[in-house]
Amino acid sequence: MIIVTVNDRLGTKAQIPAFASDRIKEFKVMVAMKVGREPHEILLKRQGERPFKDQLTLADYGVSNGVQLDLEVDTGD
Amino acid sequence: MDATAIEEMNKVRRAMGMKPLPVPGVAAQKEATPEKDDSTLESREAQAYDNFRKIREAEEAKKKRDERAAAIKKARDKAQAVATLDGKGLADDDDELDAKAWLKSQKKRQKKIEAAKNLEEEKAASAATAAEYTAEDLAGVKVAHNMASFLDGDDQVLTLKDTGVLENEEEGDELENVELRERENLQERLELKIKKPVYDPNDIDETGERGILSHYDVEIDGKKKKLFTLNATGTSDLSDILDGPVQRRKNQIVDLDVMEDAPAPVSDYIDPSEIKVKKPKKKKTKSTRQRLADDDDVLFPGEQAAADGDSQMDIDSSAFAYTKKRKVFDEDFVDDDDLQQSLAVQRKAALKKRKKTRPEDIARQLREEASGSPEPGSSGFTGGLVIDEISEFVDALHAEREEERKAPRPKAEKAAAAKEDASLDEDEEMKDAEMKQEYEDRDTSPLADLPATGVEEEKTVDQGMGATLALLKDRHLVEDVRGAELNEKFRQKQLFLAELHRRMATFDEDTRLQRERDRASGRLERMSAREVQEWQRQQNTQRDQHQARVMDQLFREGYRPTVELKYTDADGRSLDAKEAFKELSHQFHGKGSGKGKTDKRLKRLADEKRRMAQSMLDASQNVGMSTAATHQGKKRKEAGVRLA
Repeated sequence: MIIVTVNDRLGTKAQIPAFASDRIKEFKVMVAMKVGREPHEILLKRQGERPFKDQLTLADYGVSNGVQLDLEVDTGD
Repeated sequence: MDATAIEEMNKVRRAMGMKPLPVPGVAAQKEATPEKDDSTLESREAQAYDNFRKIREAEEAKKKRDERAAAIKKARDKAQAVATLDGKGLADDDDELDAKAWLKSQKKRQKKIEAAKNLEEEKAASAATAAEYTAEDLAGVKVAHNMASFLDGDDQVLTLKDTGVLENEEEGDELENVELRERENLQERLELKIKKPVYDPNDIDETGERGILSHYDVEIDGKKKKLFTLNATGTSDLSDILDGPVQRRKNQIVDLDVMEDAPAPVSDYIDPSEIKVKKPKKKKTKSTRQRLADDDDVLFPGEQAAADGDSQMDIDSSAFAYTKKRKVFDEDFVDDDDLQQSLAVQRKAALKKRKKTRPEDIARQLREEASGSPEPGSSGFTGGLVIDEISEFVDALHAEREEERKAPRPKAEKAAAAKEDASLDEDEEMKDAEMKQEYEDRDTSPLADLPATGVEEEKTVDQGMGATLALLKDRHLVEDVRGAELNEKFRQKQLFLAELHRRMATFDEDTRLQRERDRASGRLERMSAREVQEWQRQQNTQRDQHQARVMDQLFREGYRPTVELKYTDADGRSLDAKEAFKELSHQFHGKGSGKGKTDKRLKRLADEKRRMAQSMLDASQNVGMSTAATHQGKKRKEAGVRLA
């Protein structure tokens, strides 16, 4: 089990426990539960990198314990 | 992360069908059960870790094993080294021979060494004797060359001729020089190429031993080989050396060794080392000094000769000074000596050709000038331009234009018209006074001012309007645009206007008179006010009608409108049709000419302005008076400027 920190740099910061093998889509659901925003409106990415794709897992992006991800609003494009 | 949060999270995960997160409290017993399945990524990762660990362990074990093996081997090697050292050494073998015995055998050994040395010496001596190779060894060996070919050169290396074994058995060894052989072959080939006549009458054999058809000898007998045989002293046939059958003594012997020592044969020619050739004098350095002498030669030939004959005393002081000057000049330009020399020669020639001016000549010339009797041929006044009456007259003719030539007829008309005009009307006379004055001026002045030369004097502005006008016309600043015609038109118009005014005045007078008449007749008093009004209106309309009719007739008869479209540009210059069209076009299209055209136009305007401002007598341009003079000057090829 890893604990991932999600931060939107606007005052919202949440720590979410997950498995590294979780898909991004599932992880987004858990983030949504924590931050109170619809899962499809959530866009996750490492700082300065491209947004994560739903089909891949956290492990694919090299997300390990204690990693911080940037949370942005996904407008769909 | 507290357990409750994780529990909550797990609820969601379970709802989504995901694996629940391990809750910290409950984790222990769950971890205990080993997960054997490798269905999940995690278990696979764990397996991978296990495998990795196993491999690492195996590697480590292997490493340890190797180390151990190496240690064992090392130990064994060490043991072996010690074991070999235990054995008997090489020096230990002769241990049974003691010092005494060794000393005894020493003598024997010494003898053996001596014997070996002797044998070796003998061998060396025999080898040395065998190696000495003299002329005797070469006795009987043939040399396949002409003896003569050896005489000229220096050391020749002869080698055994390359022949077959059987041939060698028959003929014996033959020596030859490869280079010489090649040269001979070449010679032969070249000779074959030359077409020789079969019979050469000039080729007389002095010995008389001439066979019949001797030129076939070569083909019949085969080639005669030029051979000589070395004997013990290394000699050969003398005839070979002399290359001719002068003395045919068989087996004459020439000692090669002797020949080597013998002094060189005395040549018929003087040895080059003895010849004393006079060396040509060292080419003189082409110094400036040398050429200075040349120049002096050129300039003062007689003096130079004198100077050469005597000492330097005679040299003229002026010549000396000149030399000095030249020196300075020449030192700068010594780069091209050949050119300088050739130039000097040319100068010399030119100077010789030129007539020398002797001091006597100059003196005579001076005397002549002083006496004031110039030679009859030379005129005192040759240069410059003479402006006489004829040239002036021609100038004036040139200035005249075609329209001016036509001038007399309209002028005459004008004069007549003016007279008529004068008698016609007083008022108009007043109006036109100024204009008429002008005409009169123009008409009379040329006749009045005509000077004796027949050339018109130039008018000045202070003489009056007419003079000014004439001046401007002379300079083509004012164009004569059918002045008479214009004037006629103007007068017509004025006449018409005067008539018009007169008629109007008469109409007014008539009206006034009629009204007075009506009032006087008392006719109006009989009528009521209204009737009076009515009547007056009637009268007015009648008058108006009459007036209109009359006016209409007048206009029909006398009114000649002159329609003139005048265009001016921004500066107030009047434009001709073309320019006006351009201007209008530009205005219409909203854009003007390009830069080039504008520049051109401006330049033209500036030129025009300048031309207007130019002096009449400016000789530099072709204006007015100076044209004819300049033309004439050009024709006569005289340079000159008119000064006025």
